[in-house]
Amino acid sequence: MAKILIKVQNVVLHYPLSPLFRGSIKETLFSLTLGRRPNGSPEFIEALKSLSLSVKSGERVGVIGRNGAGKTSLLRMIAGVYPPTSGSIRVHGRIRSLFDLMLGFEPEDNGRENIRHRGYLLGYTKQEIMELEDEIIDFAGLRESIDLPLKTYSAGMNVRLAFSISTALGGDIVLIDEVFAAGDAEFQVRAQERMRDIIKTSACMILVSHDLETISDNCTRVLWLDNGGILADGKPGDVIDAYSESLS
Amino acid sequence: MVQPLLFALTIALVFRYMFKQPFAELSIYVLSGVILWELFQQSVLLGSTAIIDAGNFIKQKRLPLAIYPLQIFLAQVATFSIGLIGLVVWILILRPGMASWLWLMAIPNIALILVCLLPVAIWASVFGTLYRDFQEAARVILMALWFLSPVFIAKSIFANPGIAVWDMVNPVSNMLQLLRAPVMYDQMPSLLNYGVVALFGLLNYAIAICALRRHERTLVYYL
Repeated sequence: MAKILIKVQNVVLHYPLSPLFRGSIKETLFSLTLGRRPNGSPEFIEALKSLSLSVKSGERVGVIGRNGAGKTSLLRMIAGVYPPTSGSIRVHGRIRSLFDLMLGFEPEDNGRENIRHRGYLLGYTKQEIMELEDEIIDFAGLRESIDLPLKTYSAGMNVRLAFSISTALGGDIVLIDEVFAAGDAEFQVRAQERMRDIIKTSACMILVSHDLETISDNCTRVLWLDNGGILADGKPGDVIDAYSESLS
Repeated sequence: MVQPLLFALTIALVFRYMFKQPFAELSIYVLSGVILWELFQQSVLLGSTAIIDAGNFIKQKRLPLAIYPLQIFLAQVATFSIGLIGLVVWILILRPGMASWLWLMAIPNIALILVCLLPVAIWASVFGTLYRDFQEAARVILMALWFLSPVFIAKSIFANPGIAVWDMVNPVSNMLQLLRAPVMYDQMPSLLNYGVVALFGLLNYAIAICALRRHERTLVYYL
């Protein structure tokens, strides 16, 4: 029986709204002294409602749903970024998150230095970065410009380098949020192949995307999230069909 | 290094020609005050935006939040260290006779100051995230403290009965004395100086630990 790598049990995630109403010293003093609170305003937004989910080794889970359904919140909670308000999450294995490809880039530094910046942020060791540096540069196709400052790169070059670094190493559990393809058409073909390799070599994967074709091609199971809860959980074809019908 | 030195020179020249104050002693006094004040001030002001500025990192990867203000503080310590080197060189140029074995006592004193100021950046980063106007409020308070501390204003002014009590308990004044006493006056700081600075440090650690314990889990929602 396949090992359960991610177990989410009755998890509730509340986004507190207090930052909006008490986000300044002035407002805090007013609310303390005058007891002022906007009438009828909620204390929080319920992003995830008593959600339970298990992901086993070998599963490729796609997550679909409208904007605001809770897809990104679920992913970030599994990554440990958002603490659940109640319930529990257990994760077994090394998580590799692909949320923001450009994070960690310093425009004044050259490509090589940025490989290190981004690599450390992703949790690579110095040894791993040294071993992967040439492969990253070649995959991005930036051999001639790698020693130039990043601010001289075009947008496409930045994205290629970012993608190449972020996908150089996989992980046991790969979490992907809408970063499936990048760059020009030629690079996209290689990027798609790289993503498929990562997905194949990871123990399990959760992919959030609005591209239903990408979900259908890469996932063995699909969750349809709506209003913070799971509306459907099953085979890609069935869930995607039901979701598409709800949209039309 | 250039900015505090230029400031010290400007103040010293103004006081030299307008108030007939001795240039050498005054420039050393002001320079020592400014480099320490900058460390304290920037720990608060830059520390207050440390977590906000790292928002994109924090929303991607979970790490102890204290590392972000710590990074800011360490950068300020590097700047402070360069300032200290400049101060030593300046003293050796203008008043080489000030050099004494007591300068060695400045080393543990400076270490105490750094240990006590480290948590300032941490609690400033928490409150700076919780309250978006914290940095502006801190700036106003720091401006008042700047004029109420012997950073560039002569220590003798603070001997005035009306302000002497404040000077006794002012942590900035006591931190400055920990630095200046062995370096400029060839004497040990008083037990009161050590006591106030240590108490200030303990208070900072208490505030930083409480702030992190209470808010670290939910600070990500403020970003």
